[in-house]
Amino acid sequence: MGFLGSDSSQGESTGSEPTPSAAAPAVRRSRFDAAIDSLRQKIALEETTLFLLLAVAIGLFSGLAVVCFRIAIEWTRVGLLGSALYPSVPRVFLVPAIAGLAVAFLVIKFFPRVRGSGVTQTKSAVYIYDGFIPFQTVIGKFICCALAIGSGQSLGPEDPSLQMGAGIASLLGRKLKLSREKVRLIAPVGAAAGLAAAFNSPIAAVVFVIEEVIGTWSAGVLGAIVLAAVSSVVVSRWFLGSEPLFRTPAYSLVNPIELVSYAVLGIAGGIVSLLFAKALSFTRPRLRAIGGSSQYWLPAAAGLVIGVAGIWIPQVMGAGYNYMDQAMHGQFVWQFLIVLALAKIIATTLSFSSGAPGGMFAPTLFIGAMLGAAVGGAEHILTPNSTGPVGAYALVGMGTLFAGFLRVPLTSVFMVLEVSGNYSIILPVIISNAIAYLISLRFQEKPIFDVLSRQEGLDLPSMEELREGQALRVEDAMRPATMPILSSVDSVAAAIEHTRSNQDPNSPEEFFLVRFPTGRWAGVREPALHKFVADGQGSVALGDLLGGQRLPRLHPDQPADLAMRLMRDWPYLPVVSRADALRLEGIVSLSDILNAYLRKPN
Amino acid sequence: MLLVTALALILLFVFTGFMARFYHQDERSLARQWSAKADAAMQSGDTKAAIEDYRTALIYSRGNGETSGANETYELHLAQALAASNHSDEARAYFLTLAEREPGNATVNLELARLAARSGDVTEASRYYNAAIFGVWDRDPAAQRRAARIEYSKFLLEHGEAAEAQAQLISLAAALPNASRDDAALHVQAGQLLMESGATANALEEFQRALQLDPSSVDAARGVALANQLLGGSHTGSPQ
Repeated sequence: MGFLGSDSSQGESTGSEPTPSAAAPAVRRSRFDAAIDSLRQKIALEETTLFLLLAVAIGLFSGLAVVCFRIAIEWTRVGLLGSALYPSVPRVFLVPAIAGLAVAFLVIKFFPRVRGSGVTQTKSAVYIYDGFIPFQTVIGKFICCALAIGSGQSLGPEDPSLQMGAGIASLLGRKLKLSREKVRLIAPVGAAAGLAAAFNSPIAAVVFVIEEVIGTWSAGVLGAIVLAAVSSVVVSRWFLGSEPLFRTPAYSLVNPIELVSYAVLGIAGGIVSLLFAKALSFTRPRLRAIGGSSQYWLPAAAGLVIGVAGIWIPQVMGAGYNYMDQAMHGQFVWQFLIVLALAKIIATTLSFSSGAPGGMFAPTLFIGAMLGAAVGGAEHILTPNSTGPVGAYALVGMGTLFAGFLRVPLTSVFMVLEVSGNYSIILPVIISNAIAYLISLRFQEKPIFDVLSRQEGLDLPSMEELREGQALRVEDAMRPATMPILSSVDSVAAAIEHTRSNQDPNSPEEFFLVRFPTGRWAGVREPALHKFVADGQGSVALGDLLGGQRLPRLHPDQPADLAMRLMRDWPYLPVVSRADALRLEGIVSLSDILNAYLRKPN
Repeated sequence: MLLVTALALILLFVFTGFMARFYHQDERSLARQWSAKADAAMQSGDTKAAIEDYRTALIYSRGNGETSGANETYELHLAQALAASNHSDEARAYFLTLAEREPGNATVNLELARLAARSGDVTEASRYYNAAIFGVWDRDPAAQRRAARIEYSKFLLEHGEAAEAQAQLISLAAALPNASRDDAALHVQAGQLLMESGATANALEEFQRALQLDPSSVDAARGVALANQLLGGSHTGSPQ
């Protein structure tokens, strides 16, 4: 049963709820249920409208959950590692290891689905499990990630927030008995809400979900996603304030030649992105393959390594936002910043590959910020008069790594703009991001999320492949029209004569296109022409005899898929210019399209 | 189900509200503790510890219901501690962030001027000194403005900008108080700087004013004598 009773696609259940059969006897309903049914009929809202209202509710719930999550992480951190910026040595050494053991136990015994960052799991819910995410996963993700991140594992809270939002949305969709299609769509709505609250950046969250999770900009989904993201950010800002994640210093382009420096940052970012991606792709399957009881001790081992590193480089622990702030204000020398970036790559690779649940967004931003600040610091030494503040480079660096490592170029641009609130930084951001993205595209075949999903045995659609893939168009399949084109104003007899005198005798055509002065096209077969003559209508205009017949018109830029759907029984269809419907560019038949698909390189 | 959902939302709102309230209270308390620790470290001269503690205070003060003034105080103290320990670039970054938020903050502009002066950038230092002199001071604005002008004048004199220094000192002298004996020292100081800048006649006036306020001032008398000598005049003044 749909949300307000009218639902045409039912007969299947989502989740584990049984579906009432049409032949089942009428169930005695409570007075309350009857009142609800009556209300439904009175309101009679469309499911689409309710979906949008539900999106707001999802945003509110997700925002509240993420607020609690962020508070939980902070309390865990202060409770386990102390409130000092640089925790004491005993805590740093012991806490990540012991907490890693606890996290492993919780994950294995109670919450097996909480492994991973959350992005791949959300995508698998959308594409494989009809939007189903058990609520137990949300609870488990909350507890385990708060413990893992708060105890110092080098992971971030954003990806888990995305999955928690998707899980909340999935629960609401199931409980409110939405159609299967809507339940599948609702997970990305929750995902956007969760991510928006975590980042405090609604636009970046919306763009990320569209760019990486669903890959489509359809109006219905976009509206719901935007509503949910906005609602969740309102809630998040209500409780946690509207301060940005970082205090970004003022930025201005000192000299246009400085854009070359940002291009250098783009190259460096591309290389580091590759390094990070390769490290993860290499390490994760090997650690997973250890087997036995390794699942219990691997997170603890990763915690121990991070703890030991944390004695000298405490910046690699946790999400690292506070240290990014310091890098933006020029606290560290460029050599140390490089060390921090590399150390964070190693720490995050270990944390993530060990099976500790948590996200990669924050570590990616950290690595980018350190790298950017390092490049900025080095540029300051080489060209002090044409280099802006180091903080600007750190900011751009964050976006660069996002674009290069996660392969979400649009999201990275919007994220930097939202985080900095400074539009003047857009030019360096675009240049640096584009270069890093292209380098990553050239040397890393698959984006990291696709790699991770394949490692888990899932064959999820790649949004990047969908974006980059060349759709077959009508112009790829069409051929010139060699047969005579008839005019609707000509008589039938004249038309027959025209076909006889202009047709290629070696490949006679039986079906002819008829062009109307209004730009309309129709078709007529040769036997029909002769029948008109036999009926004594040889002098009648062809157009008058064809009635309202209308042949679908195609344009060269339209997808071939559209041509196939319009083809029906017609032997071929006209392809006309968009500027002049009377100008025939060519014709296309079903076999032309199929041949074009066969010719298309894979 | 709708009712259950609405109830769950309300309950979650209330729960989150309590959680957030305790969280902000904790964070504010931590910010104040670390700030107090940093202040103590600064007073004892341990700037390194002070910097670390101010950083920590800043982390906990962000978005935690502290007034914007409190946040900026932590940031200002951190920046000042950084400047005191010669972390000029980082100090400058923090001061610039503060200046962007409060362009008229005289304290911030003065610190930026000092950093610019340290690096020898006369143009930038002049800009920030002027912004400080005409900016908003939180306590005793007249005295602070006066002190800033004196500092700026000294800076100009050190960098050979005598004409600009004279202009500043003349403005300074015009605004000096003449109420009590204690004000004599200010006139003496102004006079000495005016002498240094080459405005001897103006310097003589200041020394004479100082003598009027405090006839027993040795420095004022000495200043009058010296100024007269340079001017070739016959004005004398001697302590009574």
